[in-house]
Amino acid sequence: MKKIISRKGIVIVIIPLFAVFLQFFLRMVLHKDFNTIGITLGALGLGQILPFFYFDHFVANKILGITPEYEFAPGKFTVSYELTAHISKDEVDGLKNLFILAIFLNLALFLVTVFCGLTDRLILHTIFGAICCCVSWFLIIFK
Amino acid sequence: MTTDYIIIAIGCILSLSIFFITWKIYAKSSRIKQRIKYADFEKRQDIIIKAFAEHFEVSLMNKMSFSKDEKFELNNLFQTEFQKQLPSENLSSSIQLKHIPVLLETIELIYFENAVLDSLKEINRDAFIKETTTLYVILIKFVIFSYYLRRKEKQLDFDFDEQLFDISNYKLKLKLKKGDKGIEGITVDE
Repeated sequence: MKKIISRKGIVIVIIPLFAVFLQFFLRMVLHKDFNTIGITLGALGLGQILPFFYFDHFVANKILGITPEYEFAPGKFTVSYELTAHISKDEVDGLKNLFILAIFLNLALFLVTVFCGLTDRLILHTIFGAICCCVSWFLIIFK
Repeated sequence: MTTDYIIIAIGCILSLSIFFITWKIYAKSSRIKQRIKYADFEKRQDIIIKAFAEHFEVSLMNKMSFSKDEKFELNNLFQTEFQKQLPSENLSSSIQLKHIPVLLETIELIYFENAVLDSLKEINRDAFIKETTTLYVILIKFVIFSYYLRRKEKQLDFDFDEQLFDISNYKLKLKLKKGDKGIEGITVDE
């Protein structure tokens, strides 16, 4: 089947456009202002980064940069990753830990963003939300 | 006001830490990927050199009057020279490990016409190694080319059942014969 849009296209174009649309919808159509732009951005970022908690995907795709080979046999489905270089487990575990740390820091920044939004500090709220979102996007897109 | 400063300070510290960690993840994983790429490249290179060296021995040297020791020595010389001249850019960018079996099958189908063998018989040892290495470097490029041609065949709507490729710079004519199951033979002629 032909792909309509690439994954990169969805992450870079569609999702931000959706966030902008949501904000316009709240402000222009519903005429409400909940100071939510930072929360929207931050939540988008978190939503995109959290699936990487499935570490096999994170390790194969981001750290090792290898694609799996799929094999279908009757009653058996095998996914194999071929690797020629020797990579130590400690190295990969170290990166996994850094990634967990990045997720928790992102969560903490999201809390700050929410706090700024609720206490009417709109500029800080937007900046921190945008940082939360951009970092997540970078972690998703980089190859 | 103080709350503002505290919030800015916490936010800035968190942001900087996230930037730092993200950069660290990126840098470390890039280094690992580089290592994998290099190891992959070495493995591909090794497999291809061995396949060509075998072809060199079976299809070329066995049809000439070399003694066993000479064959061994010439094969080693050929491998060293071939490794030096191997188009590493082609190998690293266009071939993946999963393509190797198909390429090895194609290498086995290369056949030298008598005219090529006769012309190689007449030259001395150094020239022989030089000429055969050049010949095999052309052949590996041709094998990669034919592989991509075959993959794009349907897309290009181009059928190459029996095509003649005239490589005039090297006075070579490569004839590609294709059957139902793909390439059936590559004939090398002068």
